[in-house]
Amino acid sequence: MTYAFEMRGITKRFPGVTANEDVSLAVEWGTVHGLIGENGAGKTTLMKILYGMYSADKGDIFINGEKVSLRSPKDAIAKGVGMVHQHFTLVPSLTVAQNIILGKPVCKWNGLVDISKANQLVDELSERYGMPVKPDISVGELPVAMQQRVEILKALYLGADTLIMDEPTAVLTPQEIERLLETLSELRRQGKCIVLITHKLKELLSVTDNITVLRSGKVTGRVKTSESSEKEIAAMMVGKEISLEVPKGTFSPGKDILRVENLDCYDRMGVHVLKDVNFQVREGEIVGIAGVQGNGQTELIEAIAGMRSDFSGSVTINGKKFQAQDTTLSRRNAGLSHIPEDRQKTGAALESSILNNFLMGGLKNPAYTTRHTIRYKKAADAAQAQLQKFDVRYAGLNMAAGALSGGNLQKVIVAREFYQEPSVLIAAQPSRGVDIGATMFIHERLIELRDSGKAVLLVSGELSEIMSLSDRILVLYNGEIVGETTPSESTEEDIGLLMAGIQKKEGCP
Amino acid sequence: MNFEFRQKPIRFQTAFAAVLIGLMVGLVAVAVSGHDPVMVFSALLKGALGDPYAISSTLRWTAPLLISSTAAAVCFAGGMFNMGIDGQLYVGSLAGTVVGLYLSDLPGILLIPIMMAVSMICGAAWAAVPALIRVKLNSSEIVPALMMNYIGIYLTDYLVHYHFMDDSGLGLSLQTSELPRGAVFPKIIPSLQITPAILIGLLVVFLFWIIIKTSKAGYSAILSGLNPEFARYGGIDVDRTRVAVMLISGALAGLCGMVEILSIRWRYESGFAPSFGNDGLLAALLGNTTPLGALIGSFFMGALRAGSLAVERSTDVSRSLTVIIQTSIICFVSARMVSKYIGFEAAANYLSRFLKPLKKKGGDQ
Repeated sequence: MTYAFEMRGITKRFPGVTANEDVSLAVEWGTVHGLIGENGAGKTTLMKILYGMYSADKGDIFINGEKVSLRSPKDAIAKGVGMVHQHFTLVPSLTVAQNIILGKPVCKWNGLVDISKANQLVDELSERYGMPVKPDISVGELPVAMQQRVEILKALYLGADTLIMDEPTAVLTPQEIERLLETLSELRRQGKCIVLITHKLKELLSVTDNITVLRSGKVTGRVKTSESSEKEIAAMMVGKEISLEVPKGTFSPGKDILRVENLDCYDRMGVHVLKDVNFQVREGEIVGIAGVQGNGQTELIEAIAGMRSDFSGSVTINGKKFQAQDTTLSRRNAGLSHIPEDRQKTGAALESSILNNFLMGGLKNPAYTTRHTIRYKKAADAAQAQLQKFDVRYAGLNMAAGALSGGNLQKVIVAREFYQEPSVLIAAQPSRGVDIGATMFIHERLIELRDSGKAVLLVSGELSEIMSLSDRILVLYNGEIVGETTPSESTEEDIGLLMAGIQKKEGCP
Repeated sequence: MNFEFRQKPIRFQTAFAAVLIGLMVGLVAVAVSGHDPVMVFSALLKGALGDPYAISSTLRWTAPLLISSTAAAVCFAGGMFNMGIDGQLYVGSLAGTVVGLYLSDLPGILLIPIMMAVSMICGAAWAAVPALIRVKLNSSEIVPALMMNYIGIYLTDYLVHYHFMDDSGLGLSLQTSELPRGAVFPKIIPSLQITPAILIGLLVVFLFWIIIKTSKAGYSAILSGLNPEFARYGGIDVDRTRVAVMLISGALAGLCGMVEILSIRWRYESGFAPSFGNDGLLAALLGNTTPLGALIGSFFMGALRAGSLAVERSTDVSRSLTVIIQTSIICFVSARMVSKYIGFEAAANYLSRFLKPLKKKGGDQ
């Protein structure tokens, strides 16, 4: 039988890194193939080679049994390969149909786009694959899950028989993930070949037929999904057996240390993004904020950290009350630390040295600063010791932070924020895009902080993270706290419903 | 809207190759216009570095450029773009000169610092306008700064013409009276043009270096420039930093003009500092906005200016030759996309490969 595609002995080197080394991968028609590995394992690189975005240094690619050379995505699309990227490539102001036909427009005799025919084509397409969309609505108005559906339809419209999905579930609610996985099963039934790149073991096990595990550019495991387990795959990813549970000390909360009162915020567009949010975090407690991205988490974090000034209400840290006009610095001085949502944009200056990144927020630290100057020698010693404690792997303190891998950069940020010995820590998406090893490490540190009597506010779109770390869970939906619970009282499904804005029926627990 | 300005770092070999290719373009221009390029360029080189007089002439032009390139580099470092150095320079130096003329009874040792301080304050005040437009109205500072140049230049011309015109001479040139002899810089070496101006220039670059290397303020400015959102998150007042770098830049621009007057002109003349601002910007860009880079860049630009004036004296090639060379350098440094197509990147890499063994050899000897 012929494979949908086959990659043989693929090697790809970037300056200083080998992204793929002698990787072979063959996938049959009518199957879903899972590609899993830690960050920087080379999954995305391998698929970008198949999609023609990179060219391999060595190795051959066969599509449907025929040897091909792919010089650009255009070649790959012509051979029936489609890719749905992690960051969508849609034009928000165009309609669904316009976006879908963008790569191959249908035209009238006069060369103008035939909108009605495009709409009709989109209707047919969405019916055939069981993915309902409205063709004439503009993409910018659609929720993320629908935008993703448009991306998939776009690839199918361009004739994709092999569909590569790069981390498709990162931005979805549990219910939406469920629906996406159903869609993938439907595509499989119709004989398509799907490659699913993911970090999440659970969905991998629920939908794939075969799994290939990559570690530092090499294949470390090929298994049939039905014959494998979560633990086995995790071990192949990191190279050792790991425990996914973090031991936690007993829960004995102290006094309120972070109090958020009547937080209300309209964003620049006039949208009511936070609606009278009230809660507190006590000493020795981790409070998790669950919610799908874009329901006010970003605004909430920024308001608490003092990075925006367009809200009403107050934030009390260690007994000190802060309002909109108070600065970030004053809150940091009151004992707040903050692991930001977006580590590349907010959490680091990628062009600057690791040392300079480490110093941020610590300009008051008497260990290595005087009133007006920074003692870089002492600072370097402090940084070295702290980064070693946090198991950061780096070549030298003068190396640019941008050269670090995602997980290592996140560890630098965590190390930095812990160095200031905070009494309250905001941890926003602390493990986003970070491999399992680093995630476990960061989780352990957060628990340690809690056990030492500090307060942690954990904001995460990763429900399993919230469930395993939090003592108390608040669900944020549409700028409102719609539910409060604890991990032992609720299941992931209960919380998932709240995250999707579906209130529990009366009488149900 | 997003007005973040961030200068991409320029590699040493890129700058070096841009200079070489710029010089080559100048060579071609000379040849095309029917002159002997070898002769012209040897005159250029001789006029810049050929004898003590030439070197003193190079240093004379280097001195103000050291200050104006630091003015530009300080701004770049803090993530701002000061296109208004010229305006700040004229406004600041006229104010300083006028104060000097009114207080001409004071001894020079007192008057010179006063004039320099006044010029810095007024230069900073002129720079405050675009800075405040940036942080208060969240608009770009580049265009307002550029427009303030015209306002500054015409305003100073107006003020000189109607209020401070020198009426002792023919009364035709747009200039003030001369400062008292006791209140201008003496020559360090008689018969050569070397004055304390070059020392002030070096001092300014040195202070820039110290501030960047050791101070919290320097750290805050550089991190605000690299990633303002990160700086804000870390507790740095980015808006205040932006205003500060712009004010410092304006103050240095004013100082640059004042030092030029104290050192060479002894009076304010209309248009006495042709394109000091732009040359400073170019020197700072070539030097990757580092203090050492500003030093080298200024020296190169100073040598080019001294050399081209010598070329104009000894041949009939115009000093516009410098302009051709400068502008092509700017093009080759900034137009990465274009330069990639004409094999410029490859040339830069080839040159750097060629330079490495040279460096090694230097180490062995």
